[in-house]
Amino acid sequence: MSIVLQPLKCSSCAAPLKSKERDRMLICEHCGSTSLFADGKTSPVEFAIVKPTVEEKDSLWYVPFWVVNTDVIVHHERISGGGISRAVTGQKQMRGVRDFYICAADEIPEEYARVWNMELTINQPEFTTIPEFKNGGRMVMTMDKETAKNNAEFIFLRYEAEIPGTLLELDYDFIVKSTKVLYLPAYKTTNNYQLGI
Amino acid sequence: MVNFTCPKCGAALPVKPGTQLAVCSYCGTPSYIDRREAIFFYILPFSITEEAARAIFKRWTAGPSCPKDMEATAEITALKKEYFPVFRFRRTVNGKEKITSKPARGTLLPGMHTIDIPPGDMIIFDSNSKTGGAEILHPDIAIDSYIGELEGETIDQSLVYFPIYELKYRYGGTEYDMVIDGSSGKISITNSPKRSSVSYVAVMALAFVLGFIGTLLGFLITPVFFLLIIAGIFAGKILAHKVVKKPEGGNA
Amino acid sequence: MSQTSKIIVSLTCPNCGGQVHSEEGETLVLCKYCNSVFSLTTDEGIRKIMYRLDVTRKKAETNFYEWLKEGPKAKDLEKKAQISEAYPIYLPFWRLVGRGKACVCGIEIQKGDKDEPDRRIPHESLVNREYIYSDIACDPGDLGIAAIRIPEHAEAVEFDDESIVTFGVTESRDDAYTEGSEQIKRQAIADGKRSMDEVHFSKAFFFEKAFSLVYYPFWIIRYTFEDRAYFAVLDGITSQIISGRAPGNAGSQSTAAALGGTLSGAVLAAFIFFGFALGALEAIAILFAFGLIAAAGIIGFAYKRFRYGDEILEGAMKGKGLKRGKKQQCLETNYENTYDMFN
Repeated sequence: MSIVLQPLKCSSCAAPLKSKERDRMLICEHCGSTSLFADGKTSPVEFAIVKPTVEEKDSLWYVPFWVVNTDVIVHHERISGGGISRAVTGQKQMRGVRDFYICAADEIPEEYARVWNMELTINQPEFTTIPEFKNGGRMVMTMDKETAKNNAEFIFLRYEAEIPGTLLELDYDFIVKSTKVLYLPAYKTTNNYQLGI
Repeated sequence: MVNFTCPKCGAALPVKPGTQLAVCSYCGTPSYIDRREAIFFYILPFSITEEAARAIFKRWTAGPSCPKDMEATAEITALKKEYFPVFRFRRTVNGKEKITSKPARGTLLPGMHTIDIPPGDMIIFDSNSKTGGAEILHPDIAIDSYIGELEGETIDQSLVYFPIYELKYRYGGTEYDMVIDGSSGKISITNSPKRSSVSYVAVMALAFVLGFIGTLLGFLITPVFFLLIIAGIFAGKILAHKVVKKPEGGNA
Repeated sequence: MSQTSKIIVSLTCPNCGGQVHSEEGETLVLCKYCNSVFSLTTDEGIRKIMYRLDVTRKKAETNFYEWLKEGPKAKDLEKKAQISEAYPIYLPFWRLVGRGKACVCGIEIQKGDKDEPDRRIPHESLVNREYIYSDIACDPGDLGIAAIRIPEHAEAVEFDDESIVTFGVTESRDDAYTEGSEQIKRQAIADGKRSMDEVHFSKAFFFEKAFSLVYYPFWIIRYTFEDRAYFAVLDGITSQIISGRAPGNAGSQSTAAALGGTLSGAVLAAFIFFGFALGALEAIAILFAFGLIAAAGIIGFAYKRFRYGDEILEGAMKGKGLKRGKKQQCLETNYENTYDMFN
């Protein structure tokens, strides 16, 4: 092994990539397609941009999220209490195929990211997408895919533990079917972040 | 010894342990060093003097593992200041870095087989290295004899000379070996005279029995027996003092 | 937590020839002149940080003499001990900071009163905390140091191995990383377990925040007492005693034997006597049990001081001797920004 600077090339047209930010999402100036940087290589990546549905005066940023599409299969679960309350409140079960949302920008503090991740994952929102980062900046993506998968699994466990009833036993499979990148609009004030959807 | 030179200006490049980048001190050009083929030679300086090694031995003989007359009667019969050679292999095994050390010389010295390089300021060993009067023990095991049995790919490998005091002492008519690491002062021994715990247990058992009987009889028969507790404390103190006291030069 | 001063590697941009700077550990490298993006491959991917020595020789020696007065050390040690050498050193430590997240569920068993059965209380917990792992990166030899705790005010500076006596790294980086991340996961589960007696489900994740090689300063003071060589190691920033060896006090050894032996006997006898005085069989049994525990505790404490009190071992020293002081643990928890849940 040696110390080598390997120029990164666009995964679609092979033109050299340029960037001003240390962003895992690299957009080719030549053909406009996006490459994802991971393990020293670039690979093609799909992403979508969500249209803001809330208007604010604050500065608009598009925050990258990993959307981890997963099939959650629970083979066996035992819960003590909370059964009635689960039935009455119509508590949603986090089962089957669903999207887990994992905020992938280091710039967003954990206290915001963990709330957003859970809310988005529970609500499985529907979006209108737009073709470009309109009126706002693109936030730098720092998280890799593997970290996002582990975070998604922890969100599932967090949900199982947080809903009424005490979890006694759990045996499950967490099968990741696909991952993609989604930019969600957020408004940033001095020390506050708010999702724009 | 492998010498590296700056590819730009040709000046000698000092390569530090564990580094892959060396910056030329003349022209400032950074170079990458391929460490796989070369063997690097390092030496760890002595930070323990000969006098200090003797004092470490004396401290050890006064410690709780040695017979109590050992400090006064044990005699150092030989003390050799040496540099002992050890191979250090840094390799990638299943994608992970592993570091292994192996002795580069056949030896029966205590502690040299489960070798770990002691903490020290590793410096490059070359003809200018000062050994401070220590004898350099040269390797008699070829590096190849280890490479065959090691897993993975080489990152780098080095021969480290590390400082030891080889000490022989006589106690109770028998001669024993010891190695004191010349960098941190760590003592390695295989066998050594042991202190018996019997007299310690006996003294405490006696005090215990006096305290027990004194209290029980004091409650059951007459409080006069409580005096036995005080007797226990005094007897215990006197006997314990005898057990602890060193024949001479003790610190009582 | 953010005192991670970063070391910069300078390279030449293969595209425009400008200087490219990369923080050690980063694999994505940018050229600020031509905006080119590179992938950097090297096996030196670790940040090196060092902390500046804050403690002067005078301060170290003052604290050292204070330490000589503490505990059952040889009489007049602080007057008779002679410092033969005092020098600062830097020791390398692997330091892994990251978030440990765990989900644990199980049962707490509460012993029921006489006729009632035991109560089984179900619990579930989520742990989400930041943990700091540190482990010495070389064999500490006889220095008795295993881990470090970096004080809040400590100032990190760029690593420069020209200026200091630095002890070489001899432990593998990957071994340290694996050990650190596994310990953090185990700790997250242990923190979640809390009052559970049975664990039915547990799963932990580790999310790395920083992994670095930290060079931390220490003072080594070597001293002699009655021609024997002893030493002490002091923290180079807080000046606290980390580890050391010191001669014991024979007077205190024999006192421990006398008092410990007699008292433990007396305590056991007293418990037995009061048990019989109360009469009930149960009371006798319970008081006898308490008496035995108390007596064994006293004997154990006193015997250690008596048998091994010839030498005092401070901190994480190995070997025989009377062990004193705190051993710095490898794993610490940063309680800021924890998101735990216990049910």
